[in-house]
Amino acid sequence: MRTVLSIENLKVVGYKGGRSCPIIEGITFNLEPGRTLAVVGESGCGKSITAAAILGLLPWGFTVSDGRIVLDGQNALSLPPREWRQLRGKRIGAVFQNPLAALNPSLPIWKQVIESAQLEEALTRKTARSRALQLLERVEVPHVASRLDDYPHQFSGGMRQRVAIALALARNPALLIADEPTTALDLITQAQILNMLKRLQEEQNLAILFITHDLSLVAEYADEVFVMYAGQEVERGSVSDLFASVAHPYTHALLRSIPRLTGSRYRLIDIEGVPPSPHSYTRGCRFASRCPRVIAACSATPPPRLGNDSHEAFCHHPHRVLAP
Amino acid sequence: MISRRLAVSLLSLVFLVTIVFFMIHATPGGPAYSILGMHASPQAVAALNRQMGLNQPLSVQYAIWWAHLFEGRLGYSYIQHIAVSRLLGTYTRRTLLLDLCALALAVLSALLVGMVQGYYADRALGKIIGFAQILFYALPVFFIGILLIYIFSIRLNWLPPGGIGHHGGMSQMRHLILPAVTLALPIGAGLSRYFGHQARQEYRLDYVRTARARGFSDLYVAYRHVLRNAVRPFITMVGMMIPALFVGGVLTESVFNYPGLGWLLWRSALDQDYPTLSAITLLIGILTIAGNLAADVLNSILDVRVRYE
Repeated sequence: MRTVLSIENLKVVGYKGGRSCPIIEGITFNLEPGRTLAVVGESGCGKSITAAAILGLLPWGFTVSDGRIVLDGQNALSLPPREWRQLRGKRIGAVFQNPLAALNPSLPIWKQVIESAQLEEALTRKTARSRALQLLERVEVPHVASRLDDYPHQFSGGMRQRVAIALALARNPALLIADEPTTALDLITQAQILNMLKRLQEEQNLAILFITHDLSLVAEYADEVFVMYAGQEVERGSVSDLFASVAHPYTHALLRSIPRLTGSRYRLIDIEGVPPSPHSYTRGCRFASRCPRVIAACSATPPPRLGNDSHEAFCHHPHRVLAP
Repeated sequence: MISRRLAVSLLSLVFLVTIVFFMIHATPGGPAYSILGMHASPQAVAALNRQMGLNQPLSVQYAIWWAHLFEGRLGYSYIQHIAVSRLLGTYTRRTLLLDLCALALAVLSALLVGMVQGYYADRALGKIIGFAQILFYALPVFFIGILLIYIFSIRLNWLPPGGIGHHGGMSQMRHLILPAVTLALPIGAGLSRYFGHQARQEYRLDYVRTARARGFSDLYVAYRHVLRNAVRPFITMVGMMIPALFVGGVLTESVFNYPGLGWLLWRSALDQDYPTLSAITLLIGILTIAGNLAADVLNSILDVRVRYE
């Protein structure tokens, strides 16, 4: 099957004070139409930098130093900036974590939803409004006809995230990057929005790159999982294979740290410590200092690749032996 | 919102008129001495006080002061021998022309420079702009004025060093350029620093990233999204800069020998022409209050949230 997005050996470096250090490296994955790939990891693991690199919106001081980002069969990194920009919105849409700030506070929502269409062609006010109405109905904003002229501050967080999704999908992109889209929302709103995204995905054969730190959402909403730690891949696989036999101690720890509503409600089995900063990356496994299964080899040599294309892990001492 | 703002302006106006009234009475020896001179005989002073109504109780004088203001009577200048209200007209027109030119120059350059600074905030260009702003904000108006005269009038001989030229047309325009630039530089530097900071804050907000992620060009994002959100607090700031415009105007008009209100204020202070001085003080105060009110009204029209909440 044709891929929508293919990341090959992506490396992003950050510059500070004339020195550069790697932020993410060796990131490789494919995403097919109608599928969801979940990128999972703690804060500071490079998930959002990966998303920004794919969008071509890396912050000042960061640059892609190696690898390829293949969108629709062409390497975005070799495109002139103007052409890459034109892929945004048209081929890739993006929604981000904080829906409260994601919309322009001084424009009514219908104008924001229809903005990209109006840049492409001249629309009469009437057509523009009816198109905005359709776009907002698609993301299930209730009583939308009477709310077209409302401003973002008149909507709840969940509704604003729906509007943000409508903006991202306004030009029917093939790929949606959803960077922690429901982290700031309550559990019920979160489920509603993710179910809506799933419906839109089925209707439009949309590929979704779903960035989250919450593994509990992954089993339900994703087809494939990509676990990142300290800028590198630690484990990757289809949801069924990976959850059936978690190999990497980091994935294992992430799974155990999911808060459960039953039992000891407030106890969160967490991993000690925080991910290392990019300045202190070592040759060996970067999780070694926090790993409960650490052995001598871990800090000495880079972890070997185990498993096969449907489930792989990079580990010296995995929970399970993966068949090659 | 607007009615409350209007009430505040009216209250400020009453304060202003009252303060200027007491200011006149606080002059050393009272107005009679400043007209007749310090060595006038007590009889002459008493006669003049009677003639001008200065022997009446303060409350009566205060009421008369208000009544005269409503009739547009601002007193009589004993130095220039003309009714102050007739004197002020021409000078006010010249000052408004100069100040509006300077303000337009300052605001436009502040918007442009501020947007560039906000966009390049983390890079070298943003820091260079920041340094230039402090430099121009700190340089005194008379220094900038003299420097500009030296460069553009004496060395290059491009523009006249002072005066107002013939009324209307090119000559008047040419005479306006140097004083307007002089007046605009420190105000523009202050405004652009404020606006640059504002633009930088806006650029960090998520909706800018949303707009970029939709494939909008940097220029479009700048004017359609960032500018209109950053500009609202800036308008209030422009209103607050109006007094600085008049203060800078006194120095600028003196340096360029430009006969406007600031120049007249400076002359009347030297001549101890109290009726003219108090009238100018009153006028500048009124223009300041009106300018701030206009800024707030404009702001409430632009800001949807002020209207709704």
